[in-house]
Amino acid sequence: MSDSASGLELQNLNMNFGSVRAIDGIDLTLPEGKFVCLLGPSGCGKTTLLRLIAGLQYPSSGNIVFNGKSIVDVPSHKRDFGMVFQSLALFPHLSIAQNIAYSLRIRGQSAAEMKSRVDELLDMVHLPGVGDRRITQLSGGQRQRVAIARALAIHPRLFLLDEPLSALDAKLREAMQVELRQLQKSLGITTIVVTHDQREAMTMADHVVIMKDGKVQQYGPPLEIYRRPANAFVADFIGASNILPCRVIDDSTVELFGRKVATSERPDALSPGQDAVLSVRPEDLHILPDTQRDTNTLSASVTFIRDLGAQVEIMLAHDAMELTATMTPKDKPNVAVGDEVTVEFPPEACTVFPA
Amino acid sequence: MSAVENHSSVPERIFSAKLLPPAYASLMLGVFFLIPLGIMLAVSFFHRVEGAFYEPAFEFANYARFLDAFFIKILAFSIGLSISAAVIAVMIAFPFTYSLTRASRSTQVFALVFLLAVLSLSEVIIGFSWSTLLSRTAGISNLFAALGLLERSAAYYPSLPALLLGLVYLSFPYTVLVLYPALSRLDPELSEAAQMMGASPVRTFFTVVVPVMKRTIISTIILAFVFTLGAYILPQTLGKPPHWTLSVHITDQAIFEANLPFAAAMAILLLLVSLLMVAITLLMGKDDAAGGKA
Repeated sequence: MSDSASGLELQNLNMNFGSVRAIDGIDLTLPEGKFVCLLGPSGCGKTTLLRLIAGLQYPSSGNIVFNGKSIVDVPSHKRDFGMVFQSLALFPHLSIAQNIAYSLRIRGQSAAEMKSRVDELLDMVHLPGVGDRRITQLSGGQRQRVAIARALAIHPRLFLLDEPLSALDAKLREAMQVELRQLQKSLGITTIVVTHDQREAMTMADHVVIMKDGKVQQYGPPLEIYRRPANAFVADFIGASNILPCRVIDDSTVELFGRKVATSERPDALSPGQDAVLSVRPEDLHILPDTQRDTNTLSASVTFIRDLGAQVEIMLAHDAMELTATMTPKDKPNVAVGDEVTVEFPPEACTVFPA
Repeated sequence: MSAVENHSSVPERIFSAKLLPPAYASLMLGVFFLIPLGIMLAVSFFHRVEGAFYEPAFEFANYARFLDAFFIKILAFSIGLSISAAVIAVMIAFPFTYSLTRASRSTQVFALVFLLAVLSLSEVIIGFSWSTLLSRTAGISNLFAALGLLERSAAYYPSLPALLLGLVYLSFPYTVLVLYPALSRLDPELSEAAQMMGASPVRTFFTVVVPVMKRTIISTIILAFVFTLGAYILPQTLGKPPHWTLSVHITDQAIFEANLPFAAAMAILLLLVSLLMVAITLLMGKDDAAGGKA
């Protein structure tokens, strides 16, 4: 990651809006040719970060280096980046072909050059022959494709997308995620997508940047983040987690509601006796339909069963603490609402984080 | 018994919630627009009695009198002057309002309050203020002379540029307030998209902001045109007699010559001609934007 010759490097980037720190000291190196998702809850600064990279906003301090050169002082219209906006921002006064050719016209291309590139792009996004139509004559999914084609017209050095699929319905969104990923792979273009949907990020990204309060919480391949979340926030944000208060006993044991529970990893920077949280994925919990008390278990009562067909979610309560366990229908234990059960915590699935 | 019940239910039905709003609208339209217009239309056909007032008649003499090179010229001048003032006002107001919508909230509020204050000034005050500012004895030319730009102060009024300046000043705040809501609703991502595709801010303004706002621009020009067409004090304070518009002559006929029938006839003609202009402009706009919004 120390190779700064190619790719995008953010150096101690800060952005303040009045007294609000939208971007708080971000240091990040994004490698060339990769698909990166900026992921986080609303207000985490992910869109601001994308706008700083695009040059639509000027950072309060810090540097942005692209392929070895600082671009902080390069205005957005000279960066040669392609961007798809949340509203798509297609021009209502132009036809589809004119929309796509806008950046080519700015660069003074001939009519013939523009036409052949527009046709090529429309083929690429599977919309051949619609060039003469108006924007209003297209469906939401088709407009999405036109916006992508328009952003890619100049062979941009960097492809930026701000919540590009948020206006589409669930089914179309999933299809477009796959399509966008395949398009990026075939073009090999460095792509940065802002999203709040972790499923979308997991589908498309080579690398995910998890953000909260203007800071990077974790950066890495999606599965690595899923398996080894850096803190309780990431664990909960990427694939829901049960986050339970506990107390550190030693390197691989915590005290959970008065019971000793063995955990997978040594709690980093946590000394015995300290308060911490235990994170365990819903799909890793086992429910035993009796009240036997083995090690690494907790008694709980079933409060609700959500049977979704392909997946079963069982909600449990231990005193006031709520737990969720998920499983496939064939693994569903024979329990009903109100039953007292035993919840087993497999040690390898339990991660401890600072409280 | 049943007949009585029927009777009492009829008024209820007439004044039901559904009928009341359109009835109210028609009433107001009639009282404040149709009836005065009808009276004016009727008077325009009446016979003027020299030295007295007028008497009911039906004659085209008042219209015939208008069909004279003198009045036709005045009509053409009035329309040309108002179009020029409207176009100049919108040309200045549009970029101003566009930058205003991108300024901070407090700047926007300050500018709009200031413009509302200017809007509250009457045509009389605006006319006399500008005539002072453009005068030889107390005007801005004294400043130019003091700075050495001029040898000695000069009078800039009465003149056509002074009149045009006054009309632009009169309609400017009005124009900004009409453009403001439309421009603040304009999606800023449209301009940002153009910039990401390589368009400089100036190019973005002319290739995206202006074309997207074309309809708003046309309707604002029409509003400013109609607004300045009615000005009758500025031409007299800032212009020379050849610059007196039809509105001045209508006022003159109605008030000083006591010739209401002829004033009414001129007003009706002015109304018809300006309606025609508005219709032509709207049709042109529709043609151009045929696919744009449809």
